[in-house]
Amino acid sequence: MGRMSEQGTEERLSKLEKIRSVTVRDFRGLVGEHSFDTDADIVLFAGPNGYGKSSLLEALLLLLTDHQYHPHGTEVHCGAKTLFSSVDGNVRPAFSIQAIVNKEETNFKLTCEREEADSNDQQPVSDQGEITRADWLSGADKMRPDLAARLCAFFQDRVKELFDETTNGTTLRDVLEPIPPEIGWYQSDVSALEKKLNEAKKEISKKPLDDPATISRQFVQSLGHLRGTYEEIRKRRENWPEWPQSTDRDINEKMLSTFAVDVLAAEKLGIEPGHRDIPKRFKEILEQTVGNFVKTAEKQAAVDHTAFSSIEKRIEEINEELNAIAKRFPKLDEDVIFFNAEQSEAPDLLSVFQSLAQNKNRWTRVEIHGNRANDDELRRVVEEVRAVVTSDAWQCARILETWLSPRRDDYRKKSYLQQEKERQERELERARKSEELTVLQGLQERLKAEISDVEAAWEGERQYSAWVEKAPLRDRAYADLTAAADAVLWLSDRLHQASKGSEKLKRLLQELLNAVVHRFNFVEGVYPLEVIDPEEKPDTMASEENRRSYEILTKDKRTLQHLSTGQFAQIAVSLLVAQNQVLRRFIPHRILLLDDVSTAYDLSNLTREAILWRQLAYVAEGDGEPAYQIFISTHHEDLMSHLIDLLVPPKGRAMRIIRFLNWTPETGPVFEQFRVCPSGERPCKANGEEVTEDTMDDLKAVREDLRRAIEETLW
Amino acid sequence: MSHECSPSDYLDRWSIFASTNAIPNKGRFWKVMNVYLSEVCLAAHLEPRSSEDMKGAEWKPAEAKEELSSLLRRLKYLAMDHDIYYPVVGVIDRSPSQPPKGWGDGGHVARWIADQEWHRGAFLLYLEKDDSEGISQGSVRGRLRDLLGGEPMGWPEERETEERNCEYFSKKIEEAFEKTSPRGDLATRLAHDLFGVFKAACSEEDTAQINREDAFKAVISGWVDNLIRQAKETAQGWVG
Repeated sequence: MGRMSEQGTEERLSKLEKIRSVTVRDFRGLVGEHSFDTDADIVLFAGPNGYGKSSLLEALLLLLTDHQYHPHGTEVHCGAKTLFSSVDGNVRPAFSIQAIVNKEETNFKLTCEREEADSNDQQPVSDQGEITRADWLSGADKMRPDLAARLCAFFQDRVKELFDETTNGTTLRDVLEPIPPEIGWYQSDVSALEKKLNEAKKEISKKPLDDPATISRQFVQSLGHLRGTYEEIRKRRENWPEWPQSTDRDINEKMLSTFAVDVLAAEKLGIEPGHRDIPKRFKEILEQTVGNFVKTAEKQAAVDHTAFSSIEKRIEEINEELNAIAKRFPKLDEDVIFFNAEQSEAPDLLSVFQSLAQNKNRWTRVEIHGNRANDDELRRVVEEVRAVVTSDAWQCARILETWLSPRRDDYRKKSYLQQEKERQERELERARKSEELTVLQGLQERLKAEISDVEAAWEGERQYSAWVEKAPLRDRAYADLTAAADAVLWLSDRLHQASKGSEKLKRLLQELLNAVVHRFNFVEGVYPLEVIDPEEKPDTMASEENRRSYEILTKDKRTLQHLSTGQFAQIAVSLLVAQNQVLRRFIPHRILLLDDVSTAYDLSNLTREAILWRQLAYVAEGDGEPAYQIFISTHHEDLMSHLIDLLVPPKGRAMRIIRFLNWTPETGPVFEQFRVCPSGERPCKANGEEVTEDTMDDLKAVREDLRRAIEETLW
Repeated sequence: MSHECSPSDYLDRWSIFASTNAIPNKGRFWKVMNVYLSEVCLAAHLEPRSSEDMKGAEWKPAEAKEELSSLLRRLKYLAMDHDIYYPVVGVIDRSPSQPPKGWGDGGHVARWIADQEWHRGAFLLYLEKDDSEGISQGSVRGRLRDLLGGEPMGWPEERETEERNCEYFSKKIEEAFEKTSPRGDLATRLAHDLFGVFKAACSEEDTAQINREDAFKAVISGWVDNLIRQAKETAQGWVG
C-alpha cells in the first residue's frame, strides 16, 4: 500500500520554511518526471492553461497538507498515459512527489509513492486509502487536511473553500475553539436530566386525591350519617364509647381513628393507634355487632310466636304429600298436557275418542243432494267417519281415561298443596316478624350503606392527612430536586457560555483580515469587514444550521455573496493570509500556494496584491527570514509580465520563474526556469549564488543615490 | 486598529529626505512631503499645494492629474536608473492643513485611482486622511507604514490563542462560580458537587470513544438518579 514516507532521516521537521526543489512524477498534468528549482522566496509559475501549473501547485499542496481538491477517481486518464492504474474498475494513484526542503544541510526527501503493484493482487484499493497523513511535519497531525489546505492555498476555482461559512469541511473554530466531546455529551443529556428531575418533582408533590375540600366534605357528611346509626347501636352496647365530642364539622381523621380504636377496645379487639387497618376493623366490628343483633332478634321473635310450630308442621305435611305425588308421577306436568291439542281451543284426544264413539251414527246419516264437486268431498268425509269402529273408539276412550284420570287428580291436588304451602309460609314469615327485629333489620341496612361511604371517605381523608402531615418533608425534597435541576442547568449554561467564541480571537481575526483587506480598493460600504459569530446574529439573520464558524459581513452588513468576483477574491486572499497568521502555531510550514490568484484583479489591485506578496516574502521577520515562501501561478501573459515587474526582489531575496512552454501527452510539460535578478544586483548573479550583503545597508546607499537623483532631476 | 507610536520609529528608516524642506518641490499642484524606500516599495507622500503656494491659482484637476502621473512615473524611472524595480506608490493627504481652492475632500483623486487607462498599473495611489488623530490604518503615515514594512509592522502581534480542552472549560466554570453561582446555597452546593462529578468523569480514560461517552453519561445520570432517590426518601420521611 502506498503511503507518505520520509526518507533520509528519522527526525521530524519542526517547521518547513522553504521548498528548495520539487520533483514530481505522473501527478495529474505532470506526465513523466520533472524537477523544478524552487529555491526562492517567490516562485512564479507562468504559462497557458493546461500546461501543468495548477498540477504543480496541487502536488505541493498534497505534500504539505495531505489534501487534494481533485479526488483521484474523477481523473483516471490524462492524455495518452494512464496516471492511475485501474484494477477491476478501481483506481490507484501511481505518482511521486519529492521535495528538498529548508537549508542544504537539512535535506529532506519526501515522497508519496505507491508500492509496486502486485500483478496477482485483485483486491480493489480505495483511492483515498492510498495517501496517508503527512505526518512528517510536527504539528501536522493537529489539523485536518481540508483546513490545513484552506490556510495555505488559494485556488481561484475553489475560492469558496477559504471561507468558514461556505466550506463543507472543518471550520477555524473547530480548531481554534474545539469543544471537548465531554461538553457535547453533557449538553446533549441536559434536557433529559432536567425532565427526569421535573418528573420526580411532580411525583413527589402529587396529591393523593384531586380535591381536598371534596374529600373533607365527603368525610364529614359520611360520619354525620353514621353518627345516628352508631347511637342506635350504642343503645344496645353501653360499653362502647360515646361518639367523639365535637361538632360534625370539626371531626377529623385522627379523632375518628382514636374513637375507632376505643370501639374496638370495648370489644376487646386491640389495635395500635394509627394502624392502617383501623377503618377496616371498625367497619367489621360495626357490621358484625349489628348482624348479631339481628340474629338474636330473629330467634326471639320465633319463640314469641305461638302458632309457629303448627304452621311449620303443616308445611312439613304438605311437603310430604307433594313428594309423594312427585314420586308417583315424576313427569306429572308433562303427562297431563301431553294429549292436549297444541291449539288451546281444540279438544284433547280423550274428547275426540268420546265424541267419535257417541256421534258416529248421526254424522253418517247426513243427506247429500246434487252432483256438485263439494258434495263429492263431503261424501268422502262421511265415508271416513263410517270407517270408524264405534266400539274401538269407546275402547280407546276408556284406556286413555284410565291413564289420565289419576294424573289429573294428582295434578289438581298438587296445585292445591302448593297454594296452601305459600299461604302457610306467609303465615310463618309473619310469625317470625317482630317490632325489634324490624328495627334492627333497618339498622343493618342503613349501616351497610353508611359504613361503606365512611370507609371510602375515611381512606381519602387518611391519605390526605398523611400527605398534609408530610408537607414539610415533601417541600424539602422538592427543593432538593429544584436545586439539582438548577445545578444541572447552571452548569450547562456556564459550559455554553464557555463554549462561545472568543471575542479576543474573533477580534484578532477581524483585525488581521482588515489589515490585509485595507490595502485593496473597495467601493463604499465594504470596508471594514466584520467577523461575526453566527450564534450572536439577530434571530432574523440566524441560519437554521448553527455551524461553529465565523462569518464575514461588509461594513453595510451584506454577506459576501453580494460582492463581485474581484472583491470576493480580494477578501479571500486577505482571509487566507489572516487565517494563516492566526493559526500560524498550528501550521508546520511557511508556504503559501496561490493558483491563478491575479485573474480577478484590476491593475491597481494587482499592484496592491503584489505589495502584499513582497511584504510576506521579502521582508525579514525576527529570525531574519521572510514570513513565507510564496508560489504563484498565472496564465495571463500581460499579467505575468506586470507581476514580474512588481515582484522583482530586493537585494538578498530571490524570485524564480518557471515558464511552461508546452505540454504533450507523451512528455507532459515543457518548461524553462529563470532566476529574477534582484534590484541593485548588477550584473545579475548566476543561479544559486549566495547573496550575502545586508539588504538594509544596501538600501541605505540606494536611498542616498536616489535622493540625489530626485534633487537633481525629478522636476 | 490603531498603532500609536512615533512615526520616526518606522518611517524614518525608509525615508529618503530628512525633512520636507530638503525636497526641491517645483510642481504646480503637488508638494512631495517625503519619499520612502523599503524592500517592499517606493512610496511618495504627497499633498496638494496650498492656495498660498499656488499664489491664488485655481486647482485644476485635469492638470493636477497629469502632473501627478508625470511625477510618479519619473520617480519610477529614476529608481530604475538606480536598479530599483519596485512598485511605486503615491500616498496623498486627503485633508491637508491648507487645501487649495476646489480641492474639496479630494474625491476626484479617488476617481483617478480607479482609472486604469490612466495609470496602467505603473503606480499605485492611496488617498488618506492626515495623522492628526493618530497613526492608523486610515491615515497617511499609517498607510505608509503598512505599505513599507513587513507584516509585523502593521498587524496585531498577539496571535496566541488559548487551547480549549477540558481543563480550559473547568477553569472557566471555576471562574464562573466566583462570579455567578446558581441561586441559593443548596443549588450552589449541588452545582459544585455536579461539577466535581463532571470533572472526574472527564478525566476518566477509556480506550473506546463510544464507551467513554456511555461511561461519561452514566456518571452524570447516576448523580441525578441518586439525588432523585434521596429526595423520594426524604419525602416519605425515611431520612431525617
